[in-house]
Amino acid sequence: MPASQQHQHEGHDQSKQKGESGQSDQGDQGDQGDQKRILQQLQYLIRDFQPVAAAKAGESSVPTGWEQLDSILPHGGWRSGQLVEWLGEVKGGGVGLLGLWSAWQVAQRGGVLVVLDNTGKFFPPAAAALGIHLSRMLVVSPQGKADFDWTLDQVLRCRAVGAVWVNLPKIDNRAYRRLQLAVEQSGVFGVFIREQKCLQDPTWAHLRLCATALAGQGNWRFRVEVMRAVGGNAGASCELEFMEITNQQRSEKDGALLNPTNGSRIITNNFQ
Amino acid sequence: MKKIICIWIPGGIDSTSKDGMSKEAGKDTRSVERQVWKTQDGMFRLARWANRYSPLVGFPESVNWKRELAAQEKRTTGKHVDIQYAHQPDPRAAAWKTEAIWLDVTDVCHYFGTVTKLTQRISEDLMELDIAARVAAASTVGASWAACLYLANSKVNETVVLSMEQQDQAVVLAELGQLPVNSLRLPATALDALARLGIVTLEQLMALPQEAIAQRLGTVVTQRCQQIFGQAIEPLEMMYSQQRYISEQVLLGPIGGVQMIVDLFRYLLEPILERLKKRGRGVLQLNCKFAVSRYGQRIYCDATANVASETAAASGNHVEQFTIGLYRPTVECTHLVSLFQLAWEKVGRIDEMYHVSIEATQTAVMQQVQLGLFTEEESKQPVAGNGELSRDQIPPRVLARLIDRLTSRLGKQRVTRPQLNAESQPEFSFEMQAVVELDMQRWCNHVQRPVRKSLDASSGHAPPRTSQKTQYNTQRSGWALGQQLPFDSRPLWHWGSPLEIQCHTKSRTGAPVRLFHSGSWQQVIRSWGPERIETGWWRSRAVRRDYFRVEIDSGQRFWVFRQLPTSQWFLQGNFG
Repeated sequence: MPASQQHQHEGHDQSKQKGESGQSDQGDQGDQGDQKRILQQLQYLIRDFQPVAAAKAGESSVPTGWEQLDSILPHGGWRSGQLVEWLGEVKGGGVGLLGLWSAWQVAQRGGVLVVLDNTGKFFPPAAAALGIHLSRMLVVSPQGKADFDWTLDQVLRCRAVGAVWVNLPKIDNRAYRRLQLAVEQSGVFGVFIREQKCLQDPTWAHLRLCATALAGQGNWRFRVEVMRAVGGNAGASCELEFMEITNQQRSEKDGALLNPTNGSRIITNNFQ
Repeated sequence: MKKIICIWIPGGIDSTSKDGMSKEAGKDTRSVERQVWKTQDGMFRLARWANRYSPLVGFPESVNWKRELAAQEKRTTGKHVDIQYAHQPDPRAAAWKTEAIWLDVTDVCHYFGTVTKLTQRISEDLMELDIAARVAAASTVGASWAACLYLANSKVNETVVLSMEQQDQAVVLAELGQLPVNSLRLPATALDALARLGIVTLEQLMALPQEAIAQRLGTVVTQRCQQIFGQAIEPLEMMYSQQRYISEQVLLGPIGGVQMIVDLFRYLLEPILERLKKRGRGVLQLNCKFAVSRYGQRIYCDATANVASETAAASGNHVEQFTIGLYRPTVECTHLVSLFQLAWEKVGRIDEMYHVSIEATQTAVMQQVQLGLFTEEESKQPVAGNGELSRDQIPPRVLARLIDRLTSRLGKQRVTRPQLNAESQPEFSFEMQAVVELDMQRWCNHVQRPVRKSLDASSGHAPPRTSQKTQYNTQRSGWALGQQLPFDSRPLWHWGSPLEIQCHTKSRTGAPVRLFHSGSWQQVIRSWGPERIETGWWRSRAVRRDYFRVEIDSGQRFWVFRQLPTSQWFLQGNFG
């Protein structure tokens, strides 16, 4: 029996039990009870619907590179057709780097990695040092808000784009909703880098992650908290460590991307 | 005796034009193929223009445009050093292949009066079009070219007409005798050999026995000598004017909004596309011209004075013109209409429209596509059970169309691909390459494929590894590109012009311990460095810098450097 039907039956049983217990739950109390039951049934239905909707894409999720992050994400990694918001300190806080890394993880499956750089300050050698193939990258530099919004909409609608990475300062609620629908239709993975202060703004992203750099603890460490997750639980958090690895190394066994937590593969940072 | 007019556009048809013949050409210097197309197209358009004077317009020889333009580009960039000549030939000597056309006006010049008048008129018409050209008339192709090259002067609008009578060959010889042998349209090897022998002018060459010249320098030299003086026939290969794909409409004036313009554009475009489809060709460039008025300009000018109207017309205020460029030929009306809408959005306010003209100025043969059992829409339906096409099944045209749209609205230089340079100085360590310069088909195929097949769940094996250098860039070399940099060695955001900051340093190591950031002093809790560079002496002054990565107590990381020897500190980037 499908889970949704099972929940419906449970709901009926509960109402029957209540009905047998006496005639006391009438009037306002009866209405409140009905509302509760309806809400409960809706919750069950929504919970059942979400995995079905997510499974429509028929794609396996892409591991993030950190097991602890995979464990707190709804599908155990990134998925195409998602909008992911990375919130944090954009000026040197490493949130952009985390976002770019996640975009590249998905773009490796095919499709161009689009970087929207309206400030002209994006530094491609950083992406190259991260292991990103610059030959698969498209840097678009729109000028003005109208062009920026239009470009973002266009690249998120194009099926040939693998992932989009953009520093998104402010966005209209309706425009954001349109972007969400666009990625769900096209299967593009969108990564938005936003300031911490945008935490107060409403979001249409499927995932909202808040990253905070932890100072002075060995390698570059971050605390990542899930603020919103469609089909998952918000509130979970973990700590990540960006360690030196040889770029693009993969396991000989199953071809999985070696993440920074695979200790045996780690090369220590001997820059100093 | 024949009457031949030579028109030479120094620098090619790309560099000078007003009527839209060559506005786009000459920008993509890296793409020889594209340059070939444009230059060839420019010359054909010039030939079509010249057909108004004579139906016989052509070249003396068939030209391998790609080879000639590649050689020309090599000469421009100084990469033609594989053959060392003792005497470098005049670079203009080979220009006749790609920059000149010839008109046979033997039977038509009397309609214009005389050859001199016709030549003068061609020159004036070219000047009106703002095309700097040299025009010369003679009895042979070779003589007209020689006169163009060394006797005509484009700056003062002076044309040259040599004597064309059979009995006046002595006069022609006297006129041309003092010209250099470079005017003979000889290959560089022959010119080098003549220079070694000390033969500089045509007179010196003609004084030598022809048999000896043929034996020592090759028959091509004697052949050219005979051709220039009319002793050997040199026929022209005629260029037949290409079909024009143009559609026009005269309008009353007032327009009913954007949708009306779009409908009108579609209405005019469809017949062009039908004609192109029949010939198996597609649109590569579309030129749209609109005679419009804003704020009643045109009405006001027409009503008051003709002078004002002419002034407005001369300034081009009421003619809107833009070009829609594509990177793959197409006959799809919907795609072209969407590009037109993007371009039209930038035109601004239009009150009235009087004339619309749409011309497919560049067309190309369409790529052959296998016909299927189903229509295109049916073919787009996914067959796989999961309901989605995988990335590598998405046709390259999807990405090409995105590029078309982006470049149409934002401009070519705003849609780029980064490329690393073998430079230590961060400002020069990369360059942004316009995507239009790439081979679009190849690049689209490249990016649509997964990086590793092992990423797909279906394939259960790890592919062989490739070296880091080949992954990044297979065509560039340099020790700087081969370096294996730590992932956090370079900042995500950088300033092309570094910002000067205040910094306290350790006395021994010189590493920063405090820096002034966001209006207050921040404690540096960790730093990595120095990474010293000393480079750029060949640009202006040598650049000497000690780079440090620093982490302040809030966890933020910055990229700072100390300028040497002044010890000033600069902030050049942050780590995202």
